Amino acid sequence: MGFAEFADQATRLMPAGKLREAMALVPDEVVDRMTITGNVEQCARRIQAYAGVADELILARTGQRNDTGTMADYEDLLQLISTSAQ
Amino acid sequence: MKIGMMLGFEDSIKTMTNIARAAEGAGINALYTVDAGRSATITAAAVINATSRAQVGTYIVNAYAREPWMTGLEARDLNEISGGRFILGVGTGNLHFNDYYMGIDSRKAKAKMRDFMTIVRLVVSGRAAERVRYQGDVHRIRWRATWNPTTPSLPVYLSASGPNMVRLAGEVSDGVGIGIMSSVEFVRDVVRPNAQAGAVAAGRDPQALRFPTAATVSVNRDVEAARNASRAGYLQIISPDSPPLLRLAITTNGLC
Repeated sequence: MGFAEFADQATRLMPAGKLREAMALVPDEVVDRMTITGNVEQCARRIQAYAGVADELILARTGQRNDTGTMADYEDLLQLISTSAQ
Repeated sequence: MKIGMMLGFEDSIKTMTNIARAAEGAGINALYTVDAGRSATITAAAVINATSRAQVGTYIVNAYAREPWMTGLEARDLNEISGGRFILGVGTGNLHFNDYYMGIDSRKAKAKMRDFMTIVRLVVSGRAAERVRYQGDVHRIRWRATWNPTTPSLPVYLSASGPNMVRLAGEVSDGVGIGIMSSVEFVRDVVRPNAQAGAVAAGRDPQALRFPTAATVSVNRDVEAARNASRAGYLQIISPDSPPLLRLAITTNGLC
């Protein structure tokens, strides 16, 4: 499915509250190129792709289904920061 | 790579400052707060008090919710509280939410943002007794600083995604605040050349422009869970109440 077709489907499904159906249609390329997603090692590699292009990468954390609402939720992100920060 | 972090969506300011401290310990370059569920400037003050080394900034304050004079004064104060660690990020906010929350039409933003940025940059760098004067189409200032600023100036970024605002950022800001969901190719091939052309047209050094870029990060040992969280986040972030905006966001950034 192309981006335009995905856009049409998503703009129909999201206002109707059909998040699960819309999620199944999100192209892998969107996740891979427009977000930093994966385990710590995969995220660290994605961050490095912005070297020389962005002067600073400002991370906004995406909530996870297994979040506990405690500082433990930030463990992986903090590890990613120590791995990537110079 | 310099790594920053966006704060402001946590359940309490206490949680926000705990995360800020932990991130500083992990080597973060800068911590940014946002005008969304909380005030960017007030929460920036809390983050400044919780940290000692990292830069602290707004990413961003909403220019449609504020006057440029007061925005400049708040930035001066935050720079003083932090001992010169402050960065001011300014933006138009979200077209849809400006209308929905405040009844403000922010469609024609370029003239306003030119004035807003010009005034804020004059105010943050104004020296004691120095006259600050500017007359724009939307905003003006007639003011004199009472004290010298903590640092001669401070970085003022303009967040931008569309081509007109990116070019304006090149003309009037210290850096282009690039939004989430921007691919490497979009930043490198579209945003940077456009902003640098704006700087050149305004007689400024294009190499001096900075390009701080926001990115959503979905990190999880369970990779498929991380991907699902990004899929859901992507669909929810790009304004579920506004199908035309959703379609625009997908088709413009998504193709890059």
